[in-house]
Amino acid sequence: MLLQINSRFRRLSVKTAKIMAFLILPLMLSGCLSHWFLESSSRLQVENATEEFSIVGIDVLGNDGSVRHWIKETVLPGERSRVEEQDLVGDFTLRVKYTRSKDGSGKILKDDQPFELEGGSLYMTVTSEDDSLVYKFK
Amino acid sequence: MRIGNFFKGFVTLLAMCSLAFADGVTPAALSANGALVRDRQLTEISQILRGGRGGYIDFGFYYLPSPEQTPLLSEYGEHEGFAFRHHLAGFGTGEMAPGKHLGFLLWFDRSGWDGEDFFFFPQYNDFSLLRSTTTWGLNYTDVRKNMTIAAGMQHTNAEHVGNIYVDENDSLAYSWAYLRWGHISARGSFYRTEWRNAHVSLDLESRSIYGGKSSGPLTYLPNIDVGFYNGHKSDSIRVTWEQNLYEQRLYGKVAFDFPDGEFHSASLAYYPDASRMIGFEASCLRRRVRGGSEDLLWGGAIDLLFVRLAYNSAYDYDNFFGAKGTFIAELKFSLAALDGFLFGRGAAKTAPLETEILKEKNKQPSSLDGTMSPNPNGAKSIEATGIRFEKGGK
Repeated sequence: MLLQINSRFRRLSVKTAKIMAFLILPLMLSGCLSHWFLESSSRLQVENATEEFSIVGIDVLGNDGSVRHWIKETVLPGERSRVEEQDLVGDFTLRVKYTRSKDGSGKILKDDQPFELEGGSLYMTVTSEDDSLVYKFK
Repeated sequence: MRIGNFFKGFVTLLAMCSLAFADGVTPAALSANGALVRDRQLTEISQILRGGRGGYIDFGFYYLPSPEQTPLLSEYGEHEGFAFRHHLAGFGTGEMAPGKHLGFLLWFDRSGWDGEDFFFFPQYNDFSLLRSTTTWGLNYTDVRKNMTIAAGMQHTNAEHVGNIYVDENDSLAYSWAYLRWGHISARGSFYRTEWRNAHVSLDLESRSIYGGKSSGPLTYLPNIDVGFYNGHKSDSIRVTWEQNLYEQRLYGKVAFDFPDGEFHSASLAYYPDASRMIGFEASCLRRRVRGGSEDLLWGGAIDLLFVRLAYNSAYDYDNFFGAKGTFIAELKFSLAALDGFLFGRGAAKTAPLETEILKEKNKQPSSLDGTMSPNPNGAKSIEATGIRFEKGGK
């Protein structure tokens, strides 16, 4: 009886070892395959849900004073921008440029906010609350 | 169960720490890596040409599963992605006439940073830098005179340079030459007619692989390498001192930078066997010397022939874009051969031959014949009693 259990256990352990070996193989390759489920660029679309602000562009801010334009068009209240793609995944500072007018005229104001971009499609809704902009991601 | 949970928690904590303290790689480090790879490849070549004949193979790649392990710190922020290094090397010689060997060597390295983890086809994004370096050459060794000469070319292919980096072109114009006479060797690396770096090495340690002593005071002589680097107006010198500390299994290594005499790094390596196939290393590196905020980086590495695991090791800081604060695994294999004996690069003794082990194994039963039980294989005797399922258990 004991021998029987022992042999069954041994057969089971051989099977487990085989399964383990098959599992380790894709695990070793998973690094190469990670971009199947990890996005390596971000696509941004902005919706201006405010009533009295116009968004005139969104930039990525560099710490040396340089900027990288992301959304280049003017988004009037109630409108949404086209989808723009950038090779940005990680922690960045976005600068939202806006005006206090409904047609994009007037003095351009800036709002710098740090964002963590995880890649993939980002739909940003901009609303206003007591004279400041509020960002929501979908 | 409780121990299992504790272990799981511990591993998770370790992985989280490994990511939380991971420092990014800088575009400056990536740009500077081309010259570094060319110098490292020639250092490895000169270690292999210490014998000047035999063979060598090496291949491997760094395995970093998480994009947060080596983020890129550009002027815009911290980009998630993967620093990578793939390397491949081979060397072989043939005997042309008695004691005169002619050989060919080829070293290849592809490294950089990319937004995706890949093996052959990268993403090539706006912030990637991918560069490959090929070093090849021919060598001639005269065994009787104990000398080797070698020369060849180095090619750099700047496969993709993102727009945040210093502009870089492909180049076919690097060349190198190497000369060894006994324990003394010299080598130079050139770009067109301008020298890039020059090394003079005194490999004084007596190594049994190359016909030296296998023990005694001569094995405690130092190995000194002096590297001169052309910095156009500010040339620099790096002196590396490698010292056998105990039976060619424990080594100390220190590197100093001149003209200021700044300490660069130190390491203590233990090889369970002098053939250097398995090694354990603790290292210390003084970083950010030029920035003025220097500190010491302590780390270590375990080399298990097929895999190398490292944390903050000085070698990775120097050769893997200043990667720090994260566990690094390198899947690799490298082996040198000489006259049918095998050893790791830079070793003093060969690995014990398999035939010798077999001889010992064959001897043992004959000497113990009288004391052994008549039937040492207990499992078979049970099988003979008629329990059939025992057979299938194998």
